[in-house]
Amino acid sequence: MSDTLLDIKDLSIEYHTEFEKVYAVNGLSLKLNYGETLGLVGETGAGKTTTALGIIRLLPDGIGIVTKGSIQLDGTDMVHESEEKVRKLRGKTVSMIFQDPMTSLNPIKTVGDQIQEVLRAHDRSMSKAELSRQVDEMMEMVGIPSYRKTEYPHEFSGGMKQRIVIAMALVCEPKLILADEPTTALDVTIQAQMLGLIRNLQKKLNTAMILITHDLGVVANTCEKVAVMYAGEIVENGFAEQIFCQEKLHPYTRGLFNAIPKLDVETSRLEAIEGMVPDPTQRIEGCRFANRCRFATPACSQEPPYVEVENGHFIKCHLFSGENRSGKTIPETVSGSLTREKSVVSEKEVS
Amino acid sequence: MNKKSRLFSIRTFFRRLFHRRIVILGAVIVLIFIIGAIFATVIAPYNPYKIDVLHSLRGASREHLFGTDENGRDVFSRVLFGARTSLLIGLIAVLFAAIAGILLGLISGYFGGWVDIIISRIMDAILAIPNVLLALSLGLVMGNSIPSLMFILGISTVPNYARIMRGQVMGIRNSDYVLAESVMGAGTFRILLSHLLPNCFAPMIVLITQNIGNTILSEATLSFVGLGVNPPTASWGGMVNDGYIYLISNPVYSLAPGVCIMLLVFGFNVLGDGLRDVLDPKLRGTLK
Amino acid sequence: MRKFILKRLGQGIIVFMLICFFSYIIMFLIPGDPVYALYGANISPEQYQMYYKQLHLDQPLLLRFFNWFINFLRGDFGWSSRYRCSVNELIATRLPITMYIGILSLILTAFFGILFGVIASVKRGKWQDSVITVLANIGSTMPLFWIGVLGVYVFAIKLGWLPASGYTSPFIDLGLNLKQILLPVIAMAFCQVANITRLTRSNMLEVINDDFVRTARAKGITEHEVIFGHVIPNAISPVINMIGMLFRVVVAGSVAIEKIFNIPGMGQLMIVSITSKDVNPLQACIVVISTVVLIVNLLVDIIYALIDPRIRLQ
Repeated sequence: MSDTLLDIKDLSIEYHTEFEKVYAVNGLSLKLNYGETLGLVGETGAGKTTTALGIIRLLPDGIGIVTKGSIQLDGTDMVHESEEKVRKLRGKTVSMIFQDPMTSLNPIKTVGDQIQEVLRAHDRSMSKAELSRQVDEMMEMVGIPSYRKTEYPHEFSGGMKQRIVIAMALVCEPKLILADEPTTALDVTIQAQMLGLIRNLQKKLNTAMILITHDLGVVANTCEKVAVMYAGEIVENGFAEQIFCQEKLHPYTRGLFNAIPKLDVETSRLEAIEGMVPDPTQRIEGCRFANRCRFATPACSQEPPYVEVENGHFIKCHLFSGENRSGKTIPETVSGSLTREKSVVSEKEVS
Repeated sequence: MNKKSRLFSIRTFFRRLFHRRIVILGAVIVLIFIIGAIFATVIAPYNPYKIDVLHSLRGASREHLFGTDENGRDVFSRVLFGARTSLLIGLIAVLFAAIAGILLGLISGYFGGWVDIIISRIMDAILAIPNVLLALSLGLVMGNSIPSLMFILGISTVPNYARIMRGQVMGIRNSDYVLAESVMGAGTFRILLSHLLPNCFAPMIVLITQNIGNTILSEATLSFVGLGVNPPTASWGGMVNDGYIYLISNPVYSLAPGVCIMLLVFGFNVLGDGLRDVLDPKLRGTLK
Repeated sequence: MRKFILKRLGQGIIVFMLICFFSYIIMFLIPGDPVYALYGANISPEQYQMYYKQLHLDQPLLLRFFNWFINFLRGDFGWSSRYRCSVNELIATRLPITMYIGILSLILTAFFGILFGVIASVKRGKWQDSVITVLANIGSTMPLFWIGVLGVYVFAIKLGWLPASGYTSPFIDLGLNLKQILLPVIAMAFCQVANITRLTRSNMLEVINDDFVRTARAKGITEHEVIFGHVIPNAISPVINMIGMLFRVVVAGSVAIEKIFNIPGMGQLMIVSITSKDVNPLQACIVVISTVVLIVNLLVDIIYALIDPRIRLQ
């Protein structure tokens, strides 16, 4: 058996609604090994959640459609495999922690029942005592006294609910967890607790994880690998150290870093990325970031290549392609030493 | 999404409304009946009140499209005039109910406390009395002239509007943005109005459209049991009842007005559903 | 839970009093003299004086209402001038008939309405959904009395399968009884099924899009378990509520249905008492029927609270 748990190749997902087509994911490729943690970073609407839903095949029925590409998860083709087979993988091989714990629990079922349901779905022969024992164990593991299993979700606080959601996701010891912004809806103080909890359990159970977030700080604390998504594609992908050392970066990732306040450098004002995310209902030729990019050149109207700038560090940008590949000037230009005029000129050229 | 819906232009509104063909069908049906009702005097081939005993209870023919009734009156002409009765009563009764309900809901939600309790219980009482029963007993008191019918039919739907309105007022009263504005010194009533109008417009329009159909049905039911519109005024419910005894000699007499009720109510319901899909952002896009 | 029931009970009692008061003042709002209205116009002046006293018309309104109300609570509904018997007797023979037909049609309504609604929502966008939605749209526009007329035309006149009218007690001839009530029950259920179907479908669709349903799917339970374990229990409460409300519609429907099929129930009693200005039976009808509706709604609220734990705590 190879080390690869998840292999996504050239995945495209579209949403077909009554009035329009939305191109949510466009030719995304991604690999993840057993036990690894990947941070999937990007703005709202970049297609992170869609990708996760594609992996676990829970895209809205008849609306979210995989139009291209393949997803191999632990040897199963998640795009074409029968529903029955995929269902058996959900919860057991891959499980998902959703963003909002307030709405992800069934309000009229006790939390114990909801955790137990996962176990029963994957092992119908399990005895009542055994089910109950495992539920108790899991609840204690996420830090909730097991006697509270007969309570209903509305009797728990937000953080507690998220603990229950985590318990549900982990109770069958899956090989992959998709954590979709698991801390966004929670208080800052609880966020750190929750991440610590997820990280601990993940280590203990040796589970791989894709952590979806828009917070680079969260990624730095938890993930070995980082993938940056922009407008439905991965623009940069590498080990956390490679990205956080900030030597070679995609202009978009650079922008993300510049938008974070730094404690050691005195900045009068945070630098936002100019412009807006492209309209997802339009197909775009070439680089999707070009209209917001300060380094855009005419070449950007062509589809940019994936360039391996370091071992395992990929950037999808023309700046790193061809003769520039080993050029030493690149990091400098990317870090923002270009003159203002030049960037204005290049914007004009693009338009 | 929400912001976009505010900026709806009239054209996109109609484009979305008529996106589903069935909504067009509903609108066309309603329009046909409205035109038929307005121009009933022009379109009707005969005087709907002209008695011609010699030609009573004829089946459908070229001269009499739907045949004649027991007094020899042309059924098709009477159906046309029946549309007038139904639409007039339906529209005015619903408008009356909407205005009364909205006002009561406003008062109830705005003042709260005892006022709210009293209004709410009265609304509950109206809801607990089956509407036909309420209409029957009010009819006994007020007589069954057309204006009193409008009032009677309207009153049983007042609680629907009052409840929604009250809920909206309460919800907005307690919401953060109203709190924020009153902190900044705006009067509560002014804030309420400025937030209520955009928030309530859509549900009210939808409710009104959907209620027209129901009210027309109730009017027909009352007329059918002989406690609605007084003869000889043509009304569909009354015609179904009159024709019921003659099902064997001229079935069209009783069945045709029934089909008309169905079509008109269908038209209003479909239109109401269409409006709901377009105006209610919560449901928009989820219905295919 | 007890507090919840007590609160609902309290509200119910207030509403009950309001309805009683309403039905009481009807008598005095009817144009004309209440004494003549009650006992007919051809009574002697002495009789008039006697009845006037008997009705306590010389006392203030609220006191009169109170006396009347006490009698009412004791179960004394007065005398019917039209039928020449006590109203209690009338109600006792007629209420069971209306309830019998009403409850049967309500059971049919609930069963088929929920069934079709669930099917339509689960098969959303497929042909099953289209067929059910179109039928429900048509069904909800059909006037109940017209379905009755149509039913008589097709099944009694054209096909001759079923009797066109009449009512026989099921204790006397069950077979004939079933034949006679078949059309009324189906006619009453028909348009209500359409309403329940529409409501069930829209509630189901709303819940199907909820986050917790996605969570449930992510657990790997079967679609069957998702629908029956998560979606239906959450979507059903408003439907149960609606079925409680439908009880009103059933009562209203009985007015038309009992006229068409000539069934001696409450609906017929109401029409006759109104056309003959017989006030006592009408008052009794209003109060009895509304009380039944109130009790049904109270039961519905309790069921509602049992299903949904959040309501209990409010």
